[in-house]
Amino acid sequence: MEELKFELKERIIDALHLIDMVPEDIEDDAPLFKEGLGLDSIDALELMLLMEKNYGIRLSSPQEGRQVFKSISTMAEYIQAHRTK
Amino acid sequence: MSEERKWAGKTHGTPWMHKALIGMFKVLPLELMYLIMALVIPFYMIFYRPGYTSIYHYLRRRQGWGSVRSFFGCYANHFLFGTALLDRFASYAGRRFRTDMHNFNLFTDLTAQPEGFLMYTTHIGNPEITGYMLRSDGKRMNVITFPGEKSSIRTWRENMLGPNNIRLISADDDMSWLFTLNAALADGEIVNIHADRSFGSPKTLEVSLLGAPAHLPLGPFSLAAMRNLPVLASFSLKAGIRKYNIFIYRLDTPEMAVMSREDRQQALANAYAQLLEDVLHKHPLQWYNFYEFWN
Repeated sequence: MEELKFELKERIIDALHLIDMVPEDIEDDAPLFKEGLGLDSIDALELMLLMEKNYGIRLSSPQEGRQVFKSISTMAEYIQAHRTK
Repeated sequence: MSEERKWAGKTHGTPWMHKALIGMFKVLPLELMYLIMALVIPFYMIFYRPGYTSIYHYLRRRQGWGSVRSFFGCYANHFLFGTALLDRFASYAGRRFRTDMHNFNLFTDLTAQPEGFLMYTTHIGNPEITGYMLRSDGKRMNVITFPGEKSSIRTWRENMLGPNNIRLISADDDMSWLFTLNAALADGEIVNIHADRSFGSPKTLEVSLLGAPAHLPLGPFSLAAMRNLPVLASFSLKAGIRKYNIFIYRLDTPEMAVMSREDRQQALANAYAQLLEDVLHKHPLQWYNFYEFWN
């Protein structure tokens, strides 16, 4: 799981062009949106694409999606349980 | 984003007023409603200064009109905007408008493809009229709406647009709409989004529009570049008391498809700005962004 979290952080930094950040700067349980990383709606669409392309996961339910995108930990747990790639 | 550039996305008035207006359209001729509105507009220009000054600046600085022509142009612009609003309510009351469709094949060609695509609209003319005319049974159209719209207006719009295979998605703050939008595109549906005002993200792309830098919202262009989607732009322009001309344009080009994502989104924004410029040169008075668009 720790390996997956690290990989996810690297992918997020790359996809969102967070050029001043390294994986160690992102806390596992910090909120991704508003507080924490401060991501916005465009970043959310990037994360959805990242999940599709890298892990074969398509998020379409708003309720589920909001839970998944709470933090790196929630994303990693969901990926581990549902990945097809 | 500064306060003056924010827009709540609300139609003015109370639900009771909207209902009364729709009731009036069932019995009164459209021309009479236009006449009443023509008498009210001077007061609106006096008491809603941001709207008046922003359009005056647009006509003076961006269209290069003289001061007297710009003053009367403001009145004509407010009048045309009023007719667009009244036409919306007339539509809710069951009235229909004649429309001439230009380049409709661009829409039908893309609806025949399995993949989804984007349609950009803007606050020029009366984009809602497009929704009544562009019916596609094979592909649902998802229209992203501003979150502040009143429930009564939303219900009327849903009643009008629902039979045309159109779903309204409100861009609420909780980001639920993004998942619905994502699923719609993945299912090969159409997403219709305003490409001239920001919501959901304050990020913008700078373009040159009518000789000065302007900022378009990044979201619509980023979405197209992210998924390499085809993009159409549509404009519904008032052409008579009961007539609209609807123009459809294809925005993406084969050259854009091989660009990097960043270059593609900027190229799309530049192409859209060029298109806006062409439309505004031909129809300068149908620009309905009532705030200082160029900053």
